[in-house]
Amino acid sequence: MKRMHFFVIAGVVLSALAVALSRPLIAAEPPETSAAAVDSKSGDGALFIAFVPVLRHPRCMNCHSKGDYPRQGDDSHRHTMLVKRGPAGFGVTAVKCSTCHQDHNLWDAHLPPGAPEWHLPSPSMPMIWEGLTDAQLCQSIKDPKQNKGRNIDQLVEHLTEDKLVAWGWNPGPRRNAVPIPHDDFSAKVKQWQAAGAPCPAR
Amino acid sequence: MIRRTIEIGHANADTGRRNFLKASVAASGGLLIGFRFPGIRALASTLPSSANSFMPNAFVRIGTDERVTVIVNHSEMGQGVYTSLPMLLAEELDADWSKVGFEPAPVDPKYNHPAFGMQMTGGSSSVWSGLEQFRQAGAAARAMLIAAAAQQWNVDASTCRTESGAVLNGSNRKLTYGHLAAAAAKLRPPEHVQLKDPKTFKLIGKPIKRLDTSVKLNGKAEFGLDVKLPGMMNAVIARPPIFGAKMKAFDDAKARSMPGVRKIVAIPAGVAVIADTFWQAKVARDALRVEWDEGSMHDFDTGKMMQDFRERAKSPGTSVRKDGDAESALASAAKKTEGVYEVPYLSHLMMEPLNCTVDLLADSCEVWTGSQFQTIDRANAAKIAGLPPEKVQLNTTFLGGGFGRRANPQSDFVVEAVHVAKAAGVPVKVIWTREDDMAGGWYRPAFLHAIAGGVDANGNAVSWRSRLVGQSIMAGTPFAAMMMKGKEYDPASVEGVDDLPYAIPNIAVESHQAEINVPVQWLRSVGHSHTAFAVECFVDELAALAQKDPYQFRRALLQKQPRHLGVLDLAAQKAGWDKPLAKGVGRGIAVHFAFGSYSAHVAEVSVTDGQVRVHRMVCAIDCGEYVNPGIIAAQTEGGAIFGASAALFQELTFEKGRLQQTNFHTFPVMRMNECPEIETHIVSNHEKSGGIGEPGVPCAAPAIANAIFAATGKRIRRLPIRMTEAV
Amino acid sequence: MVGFSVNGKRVNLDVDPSTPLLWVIREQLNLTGTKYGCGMAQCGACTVHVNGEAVRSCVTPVSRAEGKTITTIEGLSPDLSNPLQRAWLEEDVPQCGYCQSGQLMSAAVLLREKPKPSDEDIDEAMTGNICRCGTYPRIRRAIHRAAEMAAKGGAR
Repeated sequence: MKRMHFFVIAGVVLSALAVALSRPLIAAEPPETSAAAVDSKSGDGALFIAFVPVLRHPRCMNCHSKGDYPRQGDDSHRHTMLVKRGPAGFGVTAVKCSTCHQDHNLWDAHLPPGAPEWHLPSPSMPMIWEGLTDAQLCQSIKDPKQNKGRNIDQLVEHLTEDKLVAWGWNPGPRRNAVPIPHDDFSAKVKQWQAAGAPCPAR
Repeated sequence: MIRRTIEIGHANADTGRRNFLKASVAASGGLLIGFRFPGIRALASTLPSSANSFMPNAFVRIGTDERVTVIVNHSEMGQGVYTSLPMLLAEELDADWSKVGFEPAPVDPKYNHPAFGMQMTGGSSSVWSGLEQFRQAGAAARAMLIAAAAQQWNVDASTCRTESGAVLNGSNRKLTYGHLAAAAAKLRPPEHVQLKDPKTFKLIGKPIKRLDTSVKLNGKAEFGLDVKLPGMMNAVIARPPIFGAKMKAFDDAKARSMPGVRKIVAIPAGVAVIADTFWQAKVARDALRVEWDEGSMHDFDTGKMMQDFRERAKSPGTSVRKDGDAESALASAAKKTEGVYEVPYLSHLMMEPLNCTVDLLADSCEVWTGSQFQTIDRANAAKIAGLPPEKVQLNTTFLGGGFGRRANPQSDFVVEAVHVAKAAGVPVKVIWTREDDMAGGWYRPAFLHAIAGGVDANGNAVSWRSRLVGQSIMAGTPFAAMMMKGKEYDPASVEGVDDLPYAIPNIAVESHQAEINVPVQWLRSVGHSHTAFAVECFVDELAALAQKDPYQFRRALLQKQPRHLGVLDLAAQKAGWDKPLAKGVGRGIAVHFAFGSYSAHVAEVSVTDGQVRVHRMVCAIDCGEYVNPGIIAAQTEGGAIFGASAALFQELTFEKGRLQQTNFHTFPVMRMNECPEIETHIVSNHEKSGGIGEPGVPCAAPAIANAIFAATGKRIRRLPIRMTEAV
Repeated sequence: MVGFSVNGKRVNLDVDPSTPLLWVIREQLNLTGTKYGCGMAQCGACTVHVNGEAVRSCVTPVSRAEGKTITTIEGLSPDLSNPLQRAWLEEDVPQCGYCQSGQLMSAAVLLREKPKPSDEDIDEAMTGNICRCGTYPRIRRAIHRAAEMAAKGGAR
């Protein structure tokens, strides 16, 4: 059980943007955004692909997968106990994320892992990455309509500094961390940023 | 909770069952012993504030405040004995039900189980064994209250009547039981009592609400875990990681210096850490480094064990039942089939993990725990305390589930607590963590059933041969001599197959007893928990072999078993056996006799992407004359869920001697979202009362497995059900 | 020191802040209605409210309670008047009773947020609470009944 999320900074402002409740859960095609213009002049997207294994790791994907529920484990099975995304991404009624998850990991394996603001993306902007190509994933995280309104600087700050994202490197006892060391990851994200955040062409 | 002294009336004579009424008069100022109990006695709010009460016998006390307290000799673990047994007494007493309360009995021979000769709760026997006892106790009290009133009014007792807690005479004379209590206490109990005509019952047979509900909704019900004594410490024990392992050495350098830790001591059960609080004890226990001599079980592997069971089942075992000649009939059958059924070790997994509180003094010992085995637990505690049993006071709290685990032949959770108390020198509560509890053994044994059967050319079953392989739960216990008398097999292993009810001319049942050093014992429905699965699934296989409908196939073979037939028909009819189902849904049926009661289930199940979903279960139960249909429905429903949990999810496995499951995430229990719709239909008759705590369990697994066959055409021969293993 | 309010009473405790709230409630505050079942947020027997939200106290360090309002089963109502308790009585829900404190505390949050819950809402809210006796069908009926009671009369 793990998750990355993208809206700590701008959550309040952007809740206003969450008009598109009827929006399909998955962006089936690369969204049309201004970022597309950047990509066209920036080669093969290798800089993005260099850190994409982190985004695709179960520690991140388990909360960016299809359905209105989180997943658990390296096999990404559905979260037990019928845990749901809920109206704001924080679970439902008596089973909210914070019912079990603390703001830190606990003393042993198989106990609920924890980090501040433990939650899923909200249903209005569910950030589902499962099934996306690298190109689609790249476009998706850059798209302010899908990433809680972040510009590239805010996105990079979020990827490299957010505490819930950082949990992926410190997932607690007997849980596999994301595959690239945090410093390397941050450096790669910043290289990508410096190059104009280019996405793979396809 | 503050420890306090409560006085209760208490008769001193050990009397036989037949004349227990005579010898146990105790009244105010009479035989009273000091008795400390910080728990449910007070919470039941039935105790008189003083000793102003009338105690005509060991089972009831009537206070001058009108309260009627029924002293219950069976433990309340959810099955409703704190309601059903008081109902029996209150019925004959004509008590005002709103004034009736309960109190757990102290340990005393007069509270022995009338059939089993010791104080205990198990075998789904509380109501049928208490039927006469509690009714007579109520009737005797009533007779004495009438006599007291008649004396006061100077009338003949036969002209008096009783109603709702009062004696009446003529049209205007009325004295309540509370008013009569003091006078009645001076009278001799009657030699004989007349029990009511069942037609006049006001309580028995009605769905009366339970007496113990309110205290379970506001946190006041006191379970063993909730006991707190002044100056009490808490202990957690480092236990062997493998059965039979012995502690060689331990390093407590780190643990010893941890906050709150008072003492760390080796006891036979392991290494006990005694601390101010549970959490301190637990954290320090986890910091201990213990070196174990792993013993002979270090290689134990349940996969290999089952392989061995399979091999053993290839040869004949000890004969348990032999009707005709099953081998020849198999050889000459028109069609025959075989099925090997396997079930794993199971943990009772009561919601309240094991615990026991002990206050050991130089000349007395007091124990608080949720016990199902009071006589044995007290005797075993006394041995360790070095005291005669009479010096040990065992207080039965509410049990947060029992399912048989708290009826341990060695009193494991009590004995170790007395050992810890010896070392502690102060009152101490030993708490098992969930992981300790699950790894602690005394499981339902794993079993293998190899069954072969055949039908003739007309599809009539002609032969059945069952071979069982598994551990005996009796061997090595104090009950072995009694239960296995003259037998070379354990009746508890084969119950439910040795009495195969189907009219098959040739039946052989054979048993292989496996000797494995995994502690095993009874778990809710005991042998029936696996025999019903194997038998009822194989009956389904025979029906398929005969190309007959599984319900009708059973009907034909049960023509001489009217009560089996009764529940089978009732379940089938209520389930709408012949009605079409949604696509992908299958219906399965099973019928079984256990603990004096007949049960049948119809399950509706679908399988999607290998996931089994039980949609509906229709249960029919015939437990003879019954006391509280509300409780019967609850037990039947709960039993079905208990059985379904085992069928769908539960398995304990060992690798290199170590248990692979630790807690609810690896040994799951059915949850709300997985729970099917359940209906219970109760047969009304005047047959002898049977049990109700366990009979709801056995049919769940076979009904579900048979429904899976109906839905998918695949047979389930191993529990827990995994579609990848279906054949 | 950790300070918080429990069932309306302010408490200040000298306790290791990493101690699970469950054991502080049970052992320091003597509120034993909240139960230990698994110690790993699997069974729900330890459910209490922290600022009105259901929390598994067995995995919640007491430090999280600092400055907050805790409600345990003992504080659900002083006199069994909560519609849930009344409905539980009417449906005769408990068997052994050990899990019921947690069941009630979860159900209370459910009804606050969804006063007329569907069966699906009940599944979502209650699936984290295990009952080994199998009282689920009665719990479901009692929740529906409590919702009706609350709708008719509000909390008595």
